[in-house]
Amino acid sequence: MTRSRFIAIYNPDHQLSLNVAKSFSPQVEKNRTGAILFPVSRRSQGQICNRILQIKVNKIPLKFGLASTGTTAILAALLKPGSRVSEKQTSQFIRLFEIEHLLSLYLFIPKVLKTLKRWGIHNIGQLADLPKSQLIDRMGKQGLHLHRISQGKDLIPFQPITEPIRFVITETLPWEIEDLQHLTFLFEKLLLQLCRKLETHGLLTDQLNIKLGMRGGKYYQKSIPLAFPMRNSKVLLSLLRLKIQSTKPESPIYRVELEARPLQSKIHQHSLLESNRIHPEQFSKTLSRLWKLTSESNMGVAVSINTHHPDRFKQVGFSVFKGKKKLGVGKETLPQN
Amino acid sequence: MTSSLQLIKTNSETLNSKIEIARLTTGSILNTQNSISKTYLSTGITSLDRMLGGGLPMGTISELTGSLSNGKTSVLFTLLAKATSEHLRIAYIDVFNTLDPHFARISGIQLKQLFWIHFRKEPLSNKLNKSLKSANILTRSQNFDVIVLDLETASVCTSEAKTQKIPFHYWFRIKKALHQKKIAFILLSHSSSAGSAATVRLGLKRSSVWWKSTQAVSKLNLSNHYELLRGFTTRVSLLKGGTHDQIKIYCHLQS
Repeated sequence: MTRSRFIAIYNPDHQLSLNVAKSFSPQVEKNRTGAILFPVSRRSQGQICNRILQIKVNKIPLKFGLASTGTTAILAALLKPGSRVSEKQTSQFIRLFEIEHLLSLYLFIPKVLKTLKRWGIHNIGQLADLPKSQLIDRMGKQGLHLHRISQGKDLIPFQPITEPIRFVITETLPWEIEDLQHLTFLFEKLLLQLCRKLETHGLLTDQLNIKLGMRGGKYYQKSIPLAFPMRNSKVLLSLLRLKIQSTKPESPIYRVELEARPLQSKIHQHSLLESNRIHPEQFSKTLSRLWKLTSESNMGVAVSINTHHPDRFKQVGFSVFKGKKKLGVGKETLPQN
Repeated sequence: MTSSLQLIKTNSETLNSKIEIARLTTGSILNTQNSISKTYLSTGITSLDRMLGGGLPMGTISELTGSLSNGKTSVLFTLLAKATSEHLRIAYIDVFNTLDPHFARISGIQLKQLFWIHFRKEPLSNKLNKSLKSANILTRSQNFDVIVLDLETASVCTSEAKTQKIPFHYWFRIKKALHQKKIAFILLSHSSSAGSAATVRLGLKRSSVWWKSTQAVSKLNLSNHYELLRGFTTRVSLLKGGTHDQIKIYCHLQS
């Protein structure tokens, strides 16, 4: 079984390092020191290293390091750029490096460094020579982590940067559409795809954005905030239809783009004796029917404004749902001390 | 001048001959019972609840009738404050834009549970039509526990608004939509609009007004000409939906 190796690239311009790393591998990890780590196969490692050597920023080559573990590769890139460390040489290679560089790779509290300094530990080799059991006795779980990284091993597995998932469906039409009925058929198909995508990720949506490309380069953009997060394509279709009916596009449409804002779904445990809850889909339909009858500006909830006028108020939309959870990039899990 | 309602309980007598003076307190709930007991919606006024046999019935139309400044809004807001304290959802259809959110808030209503529909930018001829359609949509949706249709023409006292009559079939349609549902439909108007479609009709009439003269006014010896309104007493009569009884409610205004 071939094990992959890691290349770490470092440059003060982090974006440059990221772009270079992405040109070699789709999976990249960003370390808290700013170094970018990506895996390479043994077969292609030599070729990639040679190509990196040719990349120069202000006539200075990029700093990089190649090793069997991410920790060693990052230390090599930072302290001895251009090094290619084999698996057997890992622990020997990092022995002479100062302990501060090793601890800076991970989130250790300053107390750990002070303790090690007090013991007279200044480089990684001295830390690696400490007996494992006694280190754990004195420092607990941190001691175990320290022993591990002093051997050049990784504390956490490789965690690539993940881009936030966008739920967008676009369709360019072969000819322009003016009729709302034909547009509804298209919406039905696109919404079904969108809702299925949400379902596969276990997500809901609390806002639907629609962007229609019209003749003449104009755009028709509307957003439909939902009173309740949902992923029912039929309900979304009826809301969309009501919205389009209330504010019709001016020109024929040649392009349709639908975007759903994703939201984590929550599991609600209702008791048997609880009063009847609001039906979210029906509630959204009711609101959209009222929007169509009057207008969005004629309905909502009055909220007092904190000014010197006690009777000042503003109108906001009525929603039972409160609080939003944004989907972020993959978490940076580091050993907590 | 801000206004607040205070509820005071005094001696109470038997139903037919009792006149109970009640003072409604702002934001305080005296009736500790659950708002929806069986099929009634508590008004927040104990004496009124007793007269109605528990409160306003759910699944039917209840009317609050009376001329301007007779205490209809005060009674309604006490009811809504009680309802919002029980986490009920309220839809308020404000036909002629008479709702004052500030007064509603200081009366104890939690505004975040009050869905306000108004027709500010609509022409007068459309207001009534759209408001009835909204009421129809809301009663059929079952998403709100209390629906209020405010036909009060306090700010729009035009002859057109006064003479506009709502056809009867609208009310019967709403009554049918409300049947066997846990929704309280409250209609606020000058005179009876729903007719036989309403199950309960309360008539409010101001019986006496209380004034007070301030120190500044008395110093100037102008007490005969200038006085401040302290409050007024409203006589609430049950015109339909029970024994024709009546109580008195005292509405106290504070500056």
